[in-house]
Amino acid sequence: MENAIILVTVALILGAIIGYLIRSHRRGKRCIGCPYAKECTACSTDGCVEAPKTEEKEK
Amino acid sequence: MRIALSGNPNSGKTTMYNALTGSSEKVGNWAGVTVDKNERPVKRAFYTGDERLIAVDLPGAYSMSPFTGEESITRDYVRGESPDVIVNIVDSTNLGRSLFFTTQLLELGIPTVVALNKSDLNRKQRTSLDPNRLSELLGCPVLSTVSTSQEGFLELVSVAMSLKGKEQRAPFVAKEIDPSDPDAVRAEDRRRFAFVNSIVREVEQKSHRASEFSLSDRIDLLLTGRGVGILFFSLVMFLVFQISQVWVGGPIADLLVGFLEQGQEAVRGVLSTAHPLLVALLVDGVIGGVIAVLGFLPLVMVMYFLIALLEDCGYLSRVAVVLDPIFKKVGLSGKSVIPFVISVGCAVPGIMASRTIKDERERRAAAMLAPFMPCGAKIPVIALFAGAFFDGAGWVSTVTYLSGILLIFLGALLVNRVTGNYKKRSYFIIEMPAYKFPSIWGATKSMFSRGKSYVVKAATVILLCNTVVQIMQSFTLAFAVAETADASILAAVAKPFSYLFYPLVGVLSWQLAAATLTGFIAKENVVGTLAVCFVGLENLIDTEELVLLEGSGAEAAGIFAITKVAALAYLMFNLYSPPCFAALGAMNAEVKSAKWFWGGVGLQLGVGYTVSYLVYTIGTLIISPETLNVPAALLGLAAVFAMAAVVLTVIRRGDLAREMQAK
Repeated sequence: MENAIILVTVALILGAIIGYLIRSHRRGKRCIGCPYAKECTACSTDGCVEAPKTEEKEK
Repeated sequence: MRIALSGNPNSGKTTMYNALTGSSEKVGNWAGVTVDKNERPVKRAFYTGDERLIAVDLPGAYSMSPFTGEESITRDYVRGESPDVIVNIVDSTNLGRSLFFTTQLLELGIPTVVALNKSDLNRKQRTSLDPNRLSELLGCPVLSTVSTSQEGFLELVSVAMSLKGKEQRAPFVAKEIDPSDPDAVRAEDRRRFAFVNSIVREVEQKSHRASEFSLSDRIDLLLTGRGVGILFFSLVMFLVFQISQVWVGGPIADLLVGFLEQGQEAVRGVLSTAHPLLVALLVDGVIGGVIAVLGFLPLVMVMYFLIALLEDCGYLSRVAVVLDPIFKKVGLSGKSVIPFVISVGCAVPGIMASRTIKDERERRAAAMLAPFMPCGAKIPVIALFAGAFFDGAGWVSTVTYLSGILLIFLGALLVNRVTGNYKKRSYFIIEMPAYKFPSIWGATKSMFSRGKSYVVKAATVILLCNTVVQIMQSFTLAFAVAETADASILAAVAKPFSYLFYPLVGVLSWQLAAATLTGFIAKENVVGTLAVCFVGLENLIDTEELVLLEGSGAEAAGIFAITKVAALAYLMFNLYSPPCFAALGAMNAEVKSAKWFWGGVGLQLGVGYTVSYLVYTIGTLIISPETLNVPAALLGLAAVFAMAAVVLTVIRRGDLAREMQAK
């Protein structure tokens, strides 16, 4: 009985984590847990985008 | 309806955006905190009506001719996406400089309202502005606001909403000039500045002269001095580490670990009759691995709190000025200091902060060198090895940070040599914001926000990794229960990599190789995997003093089965080899070049391996030469020479290509 409880508990935990990771991935978040996942251009909500190009102009 | 918040850097745009939308975007008291566009709906408390109001926070810009990457985001948005209304946030303590950009925005024809922000500071400095007269001269509404206390926000939103669809006249219209002609551009800029200055003279009355010495100037005179400035910065950073890792973070971590371990043992007790393999999976793998990482949460959170205070008080810009002469010597500038200091908290924002650097080579160099500063995720690794192997844990931490700084210098010199830019002097201009007492509430919010992310990471990615590691350690390749861990899947996968570590630690340890591999997912995984592979390890560390618990030294050494020098070398490899995938992703986005990205990864791998090899080999030769594993040392030497040969070939090829170009 205890063995079954452990197996179910571990399976539930892992299932919840994998579900969370898949949901986050679908939302475009690539670096789960990174506090800057929203701001980082490498993992914005629009997916992987490039940082803007700099125009070297005379100010 | 979309309102764009735009203005000069450090004028309070993101503070206003956070207040209007309830967001918690990063704020700081230096120019260039926001490097990307953010947008969210404005809270209903600020307006009525059915129409949905969206606020767009844009990076700060000094003009519509962008100098840096983040300035071009602002220019492209206001020109290309035509927001319904622009809220131009103006630093009212620096009206002359701010209105230059305002006059350019007004030329776009988009209805604009000017928010004279930081008006509380003006009151303190007894500077008076006439918003009504300024409104007449600019041809748009002008309101006084204070972002930190939300003063004037209701009226600002109401006025902004009323402007939708209205026409905007420009008080100053630029002449048609050739933008590629610098003389014509300069002449036009001078004309615009003359117009702005005429407005400022009419609306601003200062009770003191700009040449008078303020308290801020007096503090700067002391703190930006060459000798005192560097000493003070060293003291500040020492206090950050000492407070976060020993004085405050340590005791709290000790309490937390004790509490978590009680829970772990309670679970073990309840499951006493279950199959040992399943108990190990749940208690040692899932729970033990997470405890090993969560135990260091207080250290990391205190560090985040202190970094947030530093970011808010205005000192970071001064650090850039103080260290500029030193960084110039290696082809970087003082502006590179900000990414490096931020990387102490997390390499991802540190790398992103490099976007504010104008020079492309310098920006790329800063982005690839920033991960050499040990970040918050590496604190658990440092604390674990310092506590397990070294009684004087304090110096280990200090040495790792000082080594990181040294490697940044050496790495910058190497980048200079490879790119052939070693003769070029770097320069930078930075705005010096006024000092202010840092917001404790703001720092607390920042600490909890980052702490939450740390917990989420521990409870998802790290927990999953630990479980996978535990399962891989419990079964053989034939998926039968492994009699010993050496016969497990994990051992089979990690063993080939352990040969790479042979010259670095003197033994073939697949456990150490496995921990480093999982560390590329998240650096905290190094500790989690070690705790799973070496069961009982986490119980031997007293996190308060960061030393081994009394009488457990031999036990810890026995568990790791490596010498102190090997432990230091292994720690160095984990600190200076490529960072986690998140940081690598940020680096890839910032350097915008596959050649630079892979060059950076190669540099980090080479530096991590070489430093680790030198620490182990030289350290062993000094402390106990008879224990040096000669074949391993020779193997490592060959690897280091091979990497040096690659670097020399790259330099030679670069030189040849430049010579060809010159001809």
